[in-house]
Amino acid sequence: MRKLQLKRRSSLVLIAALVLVAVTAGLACAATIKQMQVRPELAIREMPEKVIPLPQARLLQVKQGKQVADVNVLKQTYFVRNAIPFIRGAAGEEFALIPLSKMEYTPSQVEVTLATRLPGKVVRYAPYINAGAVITEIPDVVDHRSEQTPVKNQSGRGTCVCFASMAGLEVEYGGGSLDLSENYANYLYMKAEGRVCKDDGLQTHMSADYLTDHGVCTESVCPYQTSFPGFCNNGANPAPTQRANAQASSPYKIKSYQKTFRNDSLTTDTGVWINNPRYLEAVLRSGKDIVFGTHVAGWSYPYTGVLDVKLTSGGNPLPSVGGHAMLIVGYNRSQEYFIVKNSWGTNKGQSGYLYLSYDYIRTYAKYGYVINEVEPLAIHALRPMLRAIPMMAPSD
Amino acid sequence: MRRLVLLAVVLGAAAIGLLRAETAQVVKHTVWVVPWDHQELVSVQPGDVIEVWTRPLPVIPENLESRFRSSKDGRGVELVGETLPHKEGTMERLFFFKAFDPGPATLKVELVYADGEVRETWSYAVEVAAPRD
Repeated sequence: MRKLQLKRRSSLVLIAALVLVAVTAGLACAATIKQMQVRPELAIREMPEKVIPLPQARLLQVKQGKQVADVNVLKQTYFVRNAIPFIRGAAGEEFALIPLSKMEYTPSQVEVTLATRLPGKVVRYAPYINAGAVITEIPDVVDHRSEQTPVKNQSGRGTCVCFASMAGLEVEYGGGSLDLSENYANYLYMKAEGRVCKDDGLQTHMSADYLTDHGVCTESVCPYQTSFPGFCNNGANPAPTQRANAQASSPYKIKSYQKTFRNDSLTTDTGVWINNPRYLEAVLRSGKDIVFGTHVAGWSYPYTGVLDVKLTSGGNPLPSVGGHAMLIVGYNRSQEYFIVKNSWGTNKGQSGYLYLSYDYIRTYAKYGYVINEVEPLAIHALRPMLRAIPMMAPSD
Repeated sequence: MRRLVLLAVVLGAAAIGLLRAETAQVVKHTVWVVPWDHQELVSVQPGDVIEVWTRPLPVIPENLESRFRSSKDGRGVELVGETLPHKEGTMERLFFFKAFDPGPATLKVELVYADGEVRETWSYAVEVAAPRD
């Protein structure tokens, strides 16, 4: 009997212990679930900087502070992708070479970043790399204005992303008199976003995705409409016939691109970020332009001087009044400004171009992209040009 | 049989633990998104957030000097924040109001020129209901 009582008592103790454990486990489990819900963001923010070792085979021949003996090795492995010079590591990984910030450039001063992890943290290997064979000197001014198509006017619509992206695409197809349709681009963008055509505005970098999925036509096929409701008739814009024509003749398309985003924790001009003027310089030097989105703050009519950061009475940069998209086409290194193609007509800014200071870009630039390659034009797109070639008379 | 009872007790306890942990810390409120052309009464509960979107204006020279500002009538609602949407091309704003006490309120958004002249005004009627038990 006593044994039975003892057994029961121990069973009760066991049950109580199990219940306690279960409640504790439940609480712990709930806490873990909560932590897991929060964790992804924390994990990204708290990710420690990873030091990326350079390939040993290359380093063996490099001596600190001296003219390197393996320039040939660099020459062999150096290539340009996304407008940045690269070397390839032994395991196939790619390292981007970027001039150091706030320093007069010398061949031994470059930064290296693992390209396949872009955008990522930049790791400095200044003593080890000699890129003298890669980049010899940095020009003080780069200006691609002469290569651009004429400046256009978006009129009273919020279609700056269409104009910036079409300007970028036009110059990649050779510029000149090519005039791509912003109206059709807006139709494509709003359709892709699941919005109606009376909606305006778009994250600039998304246009790269949409122009990779769909081609655009020329202005003559789908002309720009300047006012509402002309440009938007109950969501049926362009008109069905016009849309069908545009869909049938839209070969202008992005094949590959490189997006660049903002890094708010940037304290020096380093890394592949849109708010790093040194990176933008490197892109422009490679002959490419940058479609980008920026905050608008403190701009004064008629926008002819260098637009710089203006401060509030509290000493902070003026708050943004909205976002705007444009095309960066050049820079002036000694005077520290970028040359930007705008879409407000030729009577604003410098014949339609704005100058944005390096500080403005550091403070307000949001994101952007570089078009690496465009789809080649099929023969039907070349028909109008072929038609213009006079036919040869048949010889007798 | 005893083992089954034991298992049921343990699982029940675990479930109670989970439930208590959840309900002790999480309170659900609703965020009401009000488009700029909304005209009907917005009925909310105390603790709810009302997110008012202003009319989108294109980012063009004619609009750069204009600003949106908001105000409210009624004690039960307070402006708690404002921000810009993450896109380019427009300069609309998002105003966030929080409902605190029951009663009627009116939210007002104005588009103002640089010289202070009011260009356009929009009003939104709000009714904060008595809290549910």
